[in-house]
Amino acid sequence: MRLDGKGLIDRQKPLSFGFDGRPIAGFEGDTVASALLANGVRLVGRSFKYHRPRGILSAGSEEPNALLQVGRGAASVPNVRATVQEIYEGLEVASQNRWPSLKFDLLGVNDLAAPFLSAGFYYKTFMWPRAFWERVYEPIIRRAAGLGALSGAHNEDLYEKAFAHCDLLVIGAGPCGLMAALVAARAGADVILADEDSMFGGRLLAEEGEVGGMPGAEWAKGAVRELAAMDNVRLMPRTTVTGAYDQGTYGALERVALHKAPGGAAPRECFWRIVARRAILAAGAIERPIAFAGNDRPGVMMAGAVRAYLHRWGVAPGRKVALFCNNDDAHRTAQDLSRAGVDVAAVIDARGEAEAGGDYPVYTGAHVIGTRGRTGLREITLRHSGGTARIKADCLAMSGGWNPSVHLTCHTGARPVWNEKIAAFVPAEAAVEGLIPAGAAAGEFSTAGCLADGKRAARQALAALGLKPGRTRLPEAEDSAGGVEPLWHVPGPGRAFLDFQNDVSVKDVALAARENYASVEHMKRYTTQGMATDQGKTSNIGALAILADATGRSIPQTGTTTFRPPFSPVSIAAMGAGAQGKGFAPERFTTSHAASVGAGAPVIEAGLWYRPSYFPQEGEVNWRQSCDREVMMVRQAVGICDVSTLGKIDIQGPDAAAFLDFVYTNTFSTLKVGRVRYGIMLREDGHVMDDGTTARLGDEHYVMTTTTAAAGQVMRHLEFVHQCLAPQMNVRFVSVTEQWAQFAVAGPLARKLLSEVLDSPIDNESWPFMACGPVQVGGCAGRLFRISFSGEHAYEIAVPSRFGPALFDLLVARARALGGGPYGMEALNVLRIEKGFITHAEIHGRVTAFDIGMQGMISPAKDCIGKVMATRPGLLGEGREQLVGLRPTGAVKQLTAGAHIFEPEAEAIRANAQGYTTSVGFSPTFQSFLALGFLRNGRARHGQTVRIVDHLRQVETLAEVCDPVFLDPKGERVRG
Amino acid sequence: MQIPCPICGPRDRREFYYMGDAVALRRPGPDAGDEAWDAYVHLRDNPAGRTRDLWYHEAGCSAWVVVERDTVTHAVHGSQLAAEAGS
Amino acid sequence: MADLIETSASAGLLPVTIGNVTLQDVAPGAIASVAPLSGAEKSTSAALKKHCGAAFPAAGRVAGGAGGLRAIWSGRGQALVMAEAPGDLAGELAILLKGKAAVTDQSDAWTTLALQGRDVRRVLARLTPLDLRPATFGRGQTARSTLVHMMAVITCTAADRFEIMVMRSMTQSAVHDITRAMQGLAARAAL
Repeated sequence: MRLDGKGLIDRQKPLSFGFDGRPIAGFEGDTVASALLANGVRLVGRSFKYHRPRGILSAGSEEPNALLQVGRGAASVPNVRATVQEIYEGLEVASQNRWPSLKFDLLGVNDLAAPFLSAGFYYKTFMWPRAFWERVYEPIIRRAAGLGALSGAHNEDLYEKAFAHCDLLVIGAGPCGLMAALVAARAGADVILADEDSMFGGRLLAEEGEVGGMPGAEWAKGAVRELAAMDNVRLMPRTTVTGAYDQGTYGALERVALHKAPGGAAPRECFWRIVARRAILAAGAIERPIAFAGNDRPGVMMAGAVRAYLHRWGVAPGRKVALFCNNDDAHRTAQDLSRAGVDVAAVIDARGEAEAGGDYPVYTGAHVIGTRGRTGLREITLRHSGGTARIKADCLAMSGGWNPSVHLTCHTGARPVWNEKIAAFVPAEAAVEGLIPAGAAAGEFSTAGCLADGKRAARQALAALGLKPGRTRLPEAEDSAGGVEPLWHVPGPGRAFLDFQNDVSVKDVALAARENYASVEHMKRYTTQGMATDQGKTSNIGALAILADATGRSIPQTGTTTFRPPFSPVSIAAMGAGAQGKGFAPERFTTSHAASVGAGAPVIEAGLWYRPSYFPQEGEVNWRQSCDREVMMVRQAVGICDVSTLGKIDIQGPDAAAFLDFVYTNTFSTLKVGRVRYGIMLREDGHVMDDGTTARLGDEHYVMTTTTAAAGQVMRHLEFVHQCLAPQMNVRFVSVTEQWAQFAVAGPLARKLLSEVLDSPIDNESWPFMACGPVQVGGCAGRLFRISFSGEHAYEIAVPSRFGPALFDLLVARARALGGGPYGMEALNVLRIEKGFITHAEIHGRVTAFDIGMQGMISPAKDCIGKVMATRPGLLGEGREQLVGLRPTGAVKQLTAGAHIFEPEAEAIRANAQGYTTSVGFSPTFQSFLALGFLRNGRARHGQTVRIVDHLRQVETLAEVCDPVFLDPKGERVRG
Repeated sequence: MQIPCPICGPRDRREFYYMGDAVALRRPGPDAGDEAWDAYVHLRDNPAGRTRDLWYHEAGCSAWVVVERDTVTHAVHGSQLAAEAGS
Repeated sequence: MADLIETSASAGLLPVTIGNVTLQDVAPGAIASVAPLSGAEKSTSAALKKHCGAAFPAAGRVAGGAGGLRAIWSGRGQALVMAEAPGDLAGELAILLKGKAAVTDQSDAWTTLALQGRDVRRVLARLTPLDLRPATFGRGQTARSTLVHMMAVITCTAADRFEIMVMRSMTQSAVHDITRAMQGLAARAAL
């Protein structure tokens, strides 16, 4: 019921939204919860396990009951708390976990079966037969018990991630947080003030009390106005600080546009990483329910929430409201309602004494022992000194006291401390480095106390920051003690709920204790208390108290469960923000990319790089035709391939040669200037890390190439070896991968092509195999290397990247004129397999130089990384799987990569495996599939027949073991 | 998590590559024997408390850094350049 | 034979203005990385100062020089000397610093993007974990860090202007990521 003249909503801006398809009217500033209550809607959802009718319990992010599905279609979001979702025109929300409708839920029969659905029910009931668990029980349980559902469709909405830095992060903008922010900001600190609410003010917006001689909400507005005008303050409304992490890092979720219709360009949410030198936790406190029979009926609400709906939103959650409490603070609920003209049915105070504050009956030393009403509260039953009584009420406000929101103080491992005076846990001393708890979060519940504590905390933070606080006078405010006497549970028949979201009652906790799940962590898992999306914000302490009672211990002896981030749910979409589509990883494009794509080449990913797979020509209908043609083109004419993706590292300095001798197994100090040498480098454990060629450009100047895949790893390794193992070496290196566009020119006509293109022609004298040096091409200074990855007479030519596209076009045009053209990764792969050249398919991290037949490249004359460990027992000898070539000999001619090798007669099981294939291609040169692979003692087995079995693709082939170099073993072609 | 780079100052841990125990700085000589090499390559303590680790400021200044931190409290006690850490 | 023509990695992508922030490319001039050899740090700096007017910059700093030359610190013991005009800067510096420093031509290794406007820091806050508050990162300050998933050199060149250097091959991704941050920020303002 909406009350006239109350609330901070904008009555000039009426809005309408849909709840289960039914239009609901509200105003700007309403949450779904306040608008539903204003329209007399009390039944909002069904509970997780028993499908009991549930309503709205709270007015904040702790809400366990009123979870809704928001929106439609792909971006529909489940389990949104009605108390947090602001309304906007056209918003659609739907209740969850009910079928066919909210009012008539068939699975409500679960509630009748409740005696059987007690704690540990699943463990006890679905034990037998074992095979039934996955096929029968689990699907049924999953359908019956649950909350909202994901759409299962791709979410196109935009989410964001961002970083922020500040001197002081103030978490919570109630009286304490506002005061702290004012004091710190006036002293010049860089302040971020974050609050999960859309408005700043915290409880000041929910209470009637005055601050500094004006309504609390007015004072808050003034404070916010002052803060907003300061350059050193950043205000972050709708931002929940969800976690405290190491070195002053905090996670925070900002609901950027969740209060607006989806589809706009603004991000829905933003996940912030805030690095703060100091932080103040002014997160307030959460009111705790009382466990009594029927306390989950729609209409039973927290007393503080009733006041919040009254003052913040001008809503009376009922026409006839009763109050059940154990503290002075809660009495304000009855007084405020009464003043607002709402009928107060009764005040039931469990304590022996309490003062009447208005014109309504007050029962002291009394308890509510039952509630009635099918889908909403109609009547309560209470027990008092004189007997029992029934009272008509459609809303029951309850208060069992308040729990400081200590959650963030526990995120790095600290446990909170029990405070007897307020019967609640408070933060431990120095729980999180740099985080100062203050106000209600530290157990200071009065408004005046919160203001003073905010000032105190800010001054403490300023001292740590080396800033001087100015004089700030505290405004006058209410200063009353809470006067709480603990009341956890009203004994009696009927179910008294603790955890509303997971349907855990007092009996469940007691049963857990009886069955010896007496540790709080065990109780929690056995009953599932506190394990729902609300993480037990309203139930943890109550359950702990019941467990303490059941096990005959005190609450501090019983302990607490561990609070972990996040404080409230963070959507996966926000955590993964920016990683959709092209944001997933950077795309690296070579300078010839546009030309390759323009030529119709499909691209494949190679790490972050995109490379052409093959260049289809007219009439070619599958990739193999293109690949075969490109291979033959290189073997018979000339082909062009962009090899810029290989890592290139410029190495200079007096110790450059010595350094290379240390990282490579072979020797580079003996390499002549103007020559290139192939090298392999090992990891310190003796396995091969990478291979490639290194050219000597000058006495103290080399350029190393790495494989595309290992470029980053090799750079890191070189820096490690230099900085950590050999800092005395006078050598410098820098990546030049991006500086040079480099193209392979391969085939018998390669020299002819280059002589046409280079400013001066070349011959075999000036550019023998493995020569390198500067060249001029098209008026531009480049480098030429006579190296081959195809086994053909070949070169690689490099020019500064800005000339890459032009040179590629030029080379391709000339190649075409000579009967050649560009070739892609598929042909490159076949060419190198024919020649027995390895890639990371072979040097995959578990092979040694011995395994690939290169043990001779480990120089005996010097130390190098990996040398000692490469000679360990087990890394040498017949037992090793060694690189071999394989060609099919039986009826089946197909080979596949990743297949396993067996003796021809052996059963194809793991115990009999002799090795595996690593690279396979169809060779148009040999008109046969060829494979490289590793075979136990393979070098001694050339000529033998083996059986190759691919269990996944179900291919089985007989093959002959041979030397891995299929083509031109003498190397005559490369020298031609 | 923030790591203090001796060159760049405190930086987000995203900029760093983690290697492991700073024992990697003490490479044995080629003739140190099997046990020394086994210990160097394979054996690591797993302390509850202070530890010295090697981090590489890969997306930053490229320095290898020895960071002393506590595996229990996650406190970072200091850092120095590996090149100056002296093996 | 005709001369090879140049192609920019950001051809056709820029400039882009969204909200009050503009992203544009900075014409590639000449860039040479300079890494002083052991013991030659001071003589390298002195030679640079004399020849270019810019000494070897301290960590995180830019040293401005004469005739459009400047030296940007770019990592441990390394700086990028940059000239606005293209040319063989690396070749000249290699002669100047022979025996003192490793000099490498990097003119084509980087794409330099300029991001300018009132909300420039707010855009960058969505891209890099660096603390770019004016008091800690003002004009003349530079850092190597991450830009979303890629390494970048980020330099403040004016109160509302930053230069972002990324690896040439990643130019398109950098433009994509930066413009998306600009769009999200501008759309917030319109909420």
